[in-house]
Parts: sequence; C-alpha cells; structure tokens
Amino acid sequence: MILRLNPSSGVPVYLQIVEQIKHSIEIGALEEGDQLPGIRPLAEDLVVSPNTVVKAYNELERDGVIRLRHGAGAYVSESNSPNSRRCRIKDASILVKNVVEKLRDMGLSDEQSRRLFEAELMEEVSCR
Amino acid sequence: MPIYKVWRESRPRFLFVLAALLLVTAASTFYNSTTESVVLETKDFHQAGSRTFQGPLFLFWGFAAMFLGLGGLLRERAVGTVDYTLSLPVSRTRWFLYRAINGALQALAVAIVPALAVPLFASLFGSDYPIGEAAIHGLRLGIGGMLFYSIGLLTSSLFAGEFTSAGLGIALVFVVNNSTRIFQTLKPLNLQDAIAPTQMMDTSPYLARGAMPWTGICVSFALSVVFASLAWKLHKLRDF
Amino acid sequence: MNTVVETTDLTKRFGENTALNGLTMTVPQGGIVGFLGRNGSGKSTTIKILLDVIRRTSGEALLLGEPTGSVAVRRRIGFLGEDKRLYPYMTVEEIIEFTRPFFSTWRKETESRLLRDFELPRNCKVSSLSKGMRTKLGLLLNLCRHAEFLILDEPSEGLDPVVAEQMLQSLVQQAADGTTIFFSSHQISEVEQIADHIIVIEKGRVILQGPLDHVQQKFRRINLVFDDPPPAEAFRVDGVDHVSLQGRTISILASRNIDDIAALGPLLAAKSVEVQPVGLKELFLEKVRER
Repeated sequence: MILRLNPSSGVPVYLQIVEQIKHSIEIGALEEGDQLPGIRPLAEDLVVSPNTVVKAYNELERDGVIRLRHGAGAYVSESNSPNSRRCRIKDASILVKNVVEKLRDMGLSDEQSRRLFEAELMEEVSCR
Repeated sequence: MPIYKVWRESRPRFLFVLAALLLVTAASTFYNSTTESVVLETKDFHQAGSRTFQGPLFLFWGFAAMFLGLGGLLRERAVGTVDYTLSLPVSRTRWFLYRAINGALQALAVAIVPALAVPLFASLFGSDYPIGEAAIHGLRLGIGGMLFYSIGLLTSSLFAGEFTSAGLGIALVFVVNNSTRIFQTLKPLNLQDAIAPTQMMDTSPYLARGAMPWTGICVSFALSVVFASLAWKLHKLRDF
Repeated sequence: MNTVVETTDLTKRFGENTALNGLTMTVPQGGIVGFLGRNGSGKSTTIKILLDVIRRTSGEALLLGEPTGSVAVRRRIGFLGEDKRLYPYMTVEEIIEFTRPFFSTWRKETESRLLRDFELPRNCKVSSLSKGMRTKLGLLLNLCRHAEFLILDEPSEGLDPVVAEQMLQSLVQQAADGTTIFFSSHQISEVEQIADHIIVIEKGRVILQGPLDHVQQKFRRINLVFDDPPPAEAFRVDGVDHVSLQGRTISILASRNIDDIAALGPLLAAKSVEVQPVGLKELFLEKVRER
C-alpha cells in the first residue's frame, strides 16, 4: 500500500493514515474485500509506532470503512453498509462546514448563503 | 560472567607487570651471581637471591602491586563504558568485589612467580638458592604487601585519570615504604620486614633466620583491608 | 494503565548547578516515547538517574514500579548510551557471550538474525568498529534480550541516514513485540515519525507531555490578516499561548478555544482567517522560548 506520510505537518500520523486509506478506496486503489496489511507489517513498513497504526485502524473501523476480523486481519468493508453511510454523512457535514466558513469569510451573511444553497438544490430538482 | 570482563580488562596490565618483574628478577639475579666484586666479597652464592629479594624485587613489586589496583569503574567513566556496565543487573558492590579479588590474586601471583623464578635464574647464572626460601619470601611479599595493592584500589576510586591515580599511588607507596624510617614509633611494627626480609636475614649465608615478622604482616594486611573498604564505600556512594 | 517510569519532583544538583528542578513525568507502558529537550536541559541526567549511574538529590524516581537502583529491575530493561561505547578489548562475539547470561529472556534466534541483518563481523574487536557498527552492536545487545523497557540516549546521533533508518525500524519491531521504548532526541522529525507519546524537558522541568496526537490536535496556529492590525493585547484571551505581529498578519499560537479565537478575526474585521496545525518543531521552539 502506497502511503505518503508527512509527520512534520502537525497533522497526527494516525489521521494521515486514515485519510490516505479512505482516499485509496475512493480512487479504487483499494476495493471491497481487499485485505489491508497487518498492524505490525504496516508499522514496520511506514516506520511508525504500532500504536499509531492501531489507532488508525480503529478509527477506520469506527467509520465503517474497514472491518477488523479477530486474528484474521483488516478488510475493506462493503460501501453500502449502514456504517459507511454514516461515514459519508459525516464527511459531507465536514464539507458543508468548510463551505459555510468560506462563505462567511467572503463576507456573505447566513441568509445569503442559505438562499444560494436552496437555489442550487432547486435547480437540481427542476433539472431532473 | 562479570568476572570474565574484570579479568579481560586487567589482563594486559597483569601480563605487562608479570613480564617486567620477571625481567627485573632475572637481571638482578644475574648481576648478583656474576659480578666479580660481589661474589668475591662474600664467597656466598645465596646472596644472589637474597639481594634480589631485598632490593629490586621488593621495590618494583610495591609499584607493580599498586599498579594492579588501578582501573575499575571510575576508569570506565573516562573510557565511556561505565553507563553500559552499570545498566547491567550487577550491583556496584559485586563489580567492586570482583575487581578487588581478581586484582589481589594477580598481585599475589606477581609476587610468587618471580620469587620462585629466583632459584631458577640463580642456577642459570651459576649460583643457587633454595626454593623453600624463595617461596616464603614470595608469600610474605604477596600477603604483607597487599597494602600497596589496596593503595592502588583506593587511588583509582578517587580519580578517573590513569596518571593521577597512579601518581598519587606512587607517592603513597613511598610514604608507606619509608614510614618506619619517618616515624620511629612504628619501628616495632616492622612494616618493612613484613615485605622485605631486611631484618630477618643473616649476614651469611643470607638466609632467613628468626621468627616471621607476624605483627608487621598483620598490621599491613589489616591496613590494606581498611583501604579496600574505603575504596568500596567510595564506589557505592559516588555519581558516575 | 501501567507506567514504566514515574518521577515525582525529581531534583538533581551538581554543586551550584541545578540539572533537574522538580521533574515530574510519567512514561506509559507500551508504545514509543520521545524525550525532547535542548542540550543541557537534563535529558541525560534523567536517564542516568533512572539507571542509578548517578544519584538523585531529592524527589522520587520509579522504574518498572521499583525505586531506581534495583538490580532485579535491570534484568528487565535495556540501555543504549549516547556514545555507544562498548568494551574495546572484546570482540563482537565475546561481548555477546558476556551479555547473554544476564538476561533470561534472551532469544538466540534474534541474535543470529540480527548478526546477519546488521552484518556484524564476529571476530572483530569492538575498538575497530565504526560508530555505525557499534550502534548496531549496541542495538543487538539490547534487542536480543526482549526487555520490557528500552532506554536510548540520542540513538541516531552520529549515524548516517541508512543506519538511522535501520535503527528506527528495529525499534518499531521491538515495540510491536511489546517493549516500551523511551528515546531522547534532538531530531524532532524523527520523534514526530515514530513516537506516539512525547515528553519535552527544559531547564530540568517538564514543559509538555502527553500522547503526540493529542498535542498535535490541541495546538493550532491562527493567522489573521488585517489592513490595520489591532494591538497584540486584543488577542490575549483564554487559550492563547503566544501572539506576534508580522507585517499585516497577527499570528497566534493557541491551545484551547480555537473557534472563539478564530472568530475574533471577523469580529475585528480581518481580511483573512487561517487555522493551521502546528508542527512539533515549531511548537517546541515556541514553548522553549516562552521560558
């Protein structure tokens, strides 16, 4: 698995691993059912603390992205499970938060932003 | 095994001292056996051995014994290995004990072996010396002279520098050696006799006579235990 | 949670000089702990006290639950010093033979494997080994004993990048086997890479300690750009550690209330608000300068 870590960025290494595995799944480098490296081999490969890998895998499991089978390794889980839906919602809400912050920075009022969103969603509906 | 390390560390020092003393013994015996003036004067071959015991062997042995007491943990601090040694599951007392015993045995060996070599060298150079005599002198040198060895143990517990501890050791050896001369009151203790058989010797045929200077030997040995204990205490308390 | 090291108010004075001034720290079991500090901050002194090479002036220090100085505890630990000096008169083989009997947990398979991987010549005298080779030998002597706790003082000092990487990999392997690793370092990037817990020491005291990712997620740099920057005092609110003005930018290092502090931007008519994570080097320098 090709992971590019930047330990000095200030972003915790475990989060970087989580993000990059999610990204690998999104772009298809990792698919449903694929087995991820074990905690020890991945830690040795990346030269990071095994605890860091454990933390990353636990987070990925919590988000429903992977499934940890006791003693049998970690596997990419199916994308339509309720867990991954929750995860998508979580990701989406982060996106929305970022956009809203940006709009506020630009100087728009919340009212203006809401109107923009509604307009966009309406258009989508009317287009269908 | 800890004793292995202690032995390996002391090995070059020990071998050097042994070789040096054997050389000195050989040279002295040779001189005393062959120098015309000496032989003619006394017409006594035993003198070759006796003179060796009185003079060079005693003097050099004092320094050699002190030298064998050097080394140890403080020296290791200067070399840089003391952290590794002390991180091992061996107490400081054990390290000190191993070093003290190893060095003491070496000091004894370095007294007895050259002593026993005197008869050998004597016979090589045309003279003769009874082995029994040599053995007694050697033993007395070794045991009574533990004082010098313990001086080396003490100075090496005070200073990490090889030269400083050796220098102080040499100074102390001189003081002890001349103590009976400096302090008249100590004469009855016969400290010197404990080591070098000056009083014991008969003028002819230069063999030991009279009683062994037991007081001298005991006092000397007791003092060496005191010095060694001081060295041990220093080891236990100090920061390395 | 078990702790492998616990110091309470540890103090060490060398005559006039106070090397440790009330050092209170905890090393949790399992994982890799990075011990960061400047030269003279007390890192080596702390390690030497743990090993009972030097004696503390006051305070408490526990190693694997026992007061420092316990010989029995030293059967369960390993140590690699900064100088990596080993007995020069012994050969590689001899020093391994010498060390092995002290540790009942020693594994011969590890010994053979590491001798091979590290390419250590058995019959070479230690005095003729390069620093890199001596480090590998020192590592071997420690890794084979599969200790519960491994202390390393500046392990990558004097090593070329290849050997340094080999060393870090072996540490990760040991950690995966369950050994708690404690290493002091100047190389902040190295600590960021393999440590999951950090302790930062300055002038004999702990100024920062905790899981590394908590520290990373706690601190933020908030940059606010203004046309006409307000005075720095306006930003000294709760959670702000440090404020500086650089041109038109107010730069804030904050450890709490990130959102509220960032909100000051639009409140004071900032042109732009940027919230960024803080690298350990930056954090370390800032914290040390604070003193």
